[in-house]
Amino acid sequence: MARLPPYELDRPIVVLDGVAYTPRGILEEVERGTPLGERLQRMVESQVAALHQEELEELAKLRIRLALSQAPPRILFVALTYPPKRLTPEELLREVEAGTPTGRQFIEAEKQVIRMVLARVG
Amino acid sequence: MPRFGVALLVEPSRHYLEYSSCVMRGIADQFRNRLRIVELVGGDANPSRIDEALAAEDPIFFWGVGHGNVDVWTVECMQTYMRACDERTRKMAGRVVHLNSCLTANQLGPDLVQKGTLAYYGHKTEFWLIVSDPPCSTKRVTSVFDAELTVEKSLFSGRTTGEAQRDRMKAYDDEIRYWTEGPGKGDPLAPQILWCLNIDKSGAVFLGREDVRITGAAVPWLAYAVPAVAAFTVSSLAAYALAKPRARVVA
Repeated sequence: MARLPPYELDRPIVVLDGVAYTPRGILEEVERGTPLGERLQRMVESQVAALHQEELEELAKLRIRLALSQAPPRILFVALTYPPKRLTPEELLREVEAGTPTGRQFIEAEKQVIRMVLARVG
Repeated sequence: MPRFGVALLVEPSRHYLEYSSCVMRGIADQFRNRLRIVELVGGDANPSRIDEALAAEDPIFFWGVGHGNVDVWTVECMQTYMRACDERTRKMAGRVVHLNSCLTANQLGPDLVQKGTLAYYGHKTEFWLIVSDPPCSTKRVTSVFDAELTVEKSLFSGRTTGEAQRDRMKAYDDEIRYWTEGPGKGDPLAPQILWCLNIDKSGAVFLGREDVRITGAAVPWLAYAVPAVAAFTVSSLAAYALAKPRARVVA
């Protein structure tokens, strides 16, 4: 966990039985020695979450929703396209939820971040 | 034939393009003593001024930021500069070209290389940035350009086009590490910046020759020495041949 950036501690990293768990939540379960903690630890160590594409997709969307809901509303995401694209966090979230080509790029980018995080905590 | 050691930088400012242009000006400042750098800034980054500068300077290297699409690249105020298959693409023949823009690697970039551009850097995906602060005021707004414009830092330092591409990809990894392990890991916007870096890295394309140095030959005096030695050798052989006594046939 010490190898994770602080903002990752409270972002969901695995989904088990339909529930998303953050690194901090997983650590608490592991420290309490619960059966759930053991399962979560095994999942993270074997990076099982990364193997299920549908779960990975949902996890990426969930993390994007959280990140955008916490982002300052004044920021913009700008693409050097012609014609230009200029999206507020809210507009970007709509692209992600609708699965547009723009939204897909961000989902794929977030999947890369998830893989990187799992590699560090695993 | 384009002139080695000369770079033309097209630096428009409107429609968020200043975010890239100001980073490029910082890079240019570091290299002015090593090569001739010609910049077209703001309103001067327009099609007619670009054509004039190309004709007057005939630079080996061309860089520009602009809004683009698969077959088009635009400059200040989104004036179209060139489209795939139009005549202007021929103006890039013999040069190394970097278009900091979205999507041009799909049609325009391959067309440029087909028309004789030596090497091309661009993007097959959209190129994203975060606009959270004024241009060049924070690492948040420079990070994607610090990675992408590594191409220029490398080429201006005398590295080859292929080496510059490898430096560019490594620079993206370095920027990603900055926001995950380095000083940026505590920034609340780090997740959003990582999206942009991951997208921009995944779409970064290089086409063309890997062995070109825009600063000229690896050892510049070779450019003069090789023809001089060759000329001396030829003239010596000719003189020897003329001076040599004819062989006599003895019966």
